[in-house]
Amino acid sequence: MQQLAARLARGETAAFAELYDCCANQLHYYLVVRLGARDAADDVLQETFLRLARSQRRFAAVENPVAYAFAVARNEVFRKRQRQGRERALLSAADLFEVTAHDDRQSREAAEVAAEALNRVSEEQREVIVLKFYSGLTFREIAEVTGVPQGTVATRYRAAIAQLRTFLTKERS
Amino acid sequence: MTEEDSDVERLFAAAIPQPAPAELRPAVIEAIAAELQVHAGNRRLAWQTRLGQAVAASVLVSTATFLGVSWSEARRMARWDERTVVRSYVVELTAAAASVTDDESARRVERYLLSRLQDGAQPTSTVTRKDLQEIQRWLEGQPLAERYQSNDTTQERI
Repeated sequence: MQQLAARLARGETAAFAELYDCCANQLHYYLVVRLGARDAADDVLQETFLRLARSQRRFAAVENPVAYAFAVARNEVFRKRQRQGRERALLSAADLFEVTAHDDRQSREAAEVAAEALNRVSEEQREVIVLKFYSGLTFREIAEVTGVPQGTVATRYRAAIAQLRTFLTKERS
Repeated sequence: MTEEDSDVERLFAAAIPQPAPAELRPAVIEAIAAELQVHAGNRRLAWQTRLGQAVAASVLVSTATFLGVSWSEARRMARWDERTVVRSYVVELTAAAASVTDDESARRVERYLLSRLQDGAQPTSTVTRKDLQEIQRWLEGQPLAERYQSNDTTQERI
């Protein structure tokens, strides 16, 4: 990661391609969850990488380029929301998960329930859940990305899990 | 992940997230490459601008130093020239004084004028030249200016 950060700081296009391959899917998913639309996520993902390229020198002081990319993406989400007006994104299973007509009923149901579960928790909790489950970031990295203390991240996570468990129990019953 | 949240984990594991559209990658990489190129161009331009500014500054400093040195040298030479001119004037006046008075008076005139020349407290142009003109007029038979007449020491020394 340090080597990648050094190459990114030097402005190597190949290094940016490597970073893209490394985290674009997770970033895109995070952006879909934050913005509630795949089109918007496409735009913001591109903006995020352009911003990373513009401020390439900052990578020299970055330990984890992936976490840094998430932090930049998060700022881009705020910018976009400021331009378009802040609205809580309602998530659909089709936007979030791979659901096709060929998928079995169980997979489709899991996608529906997971999307509904994410809609049940607050935005802060949803962000922590997505960063933890789908982006594979540690609490420390999530704290860096969101700019809140690690303890707050852990608290949000526990609260979200409790809410999700309650929701799942109700769903099953 | 604790055992308590394993059901939540199972739920999210069963739902596979949609990846970023495949067609987005080439567009993003191309945009990044263009951005990096612009960035590198700007950096080169900034470097060239800094170099240009450094050259301009060094030329300016060199010119200022050269002008300063030339100016002080010219002043020094002008002072030296002036003294030379005044010295030859003293010789002429001494000869004139000797022709209208006697040798002793001429020597006193010369000594007085030379002592004024060696007095570096005031520029020769403002003091000695006026004195010389006054003495020349006196030697030509004209009366001394009022300030010389009231200055007994000057007359006595002459």
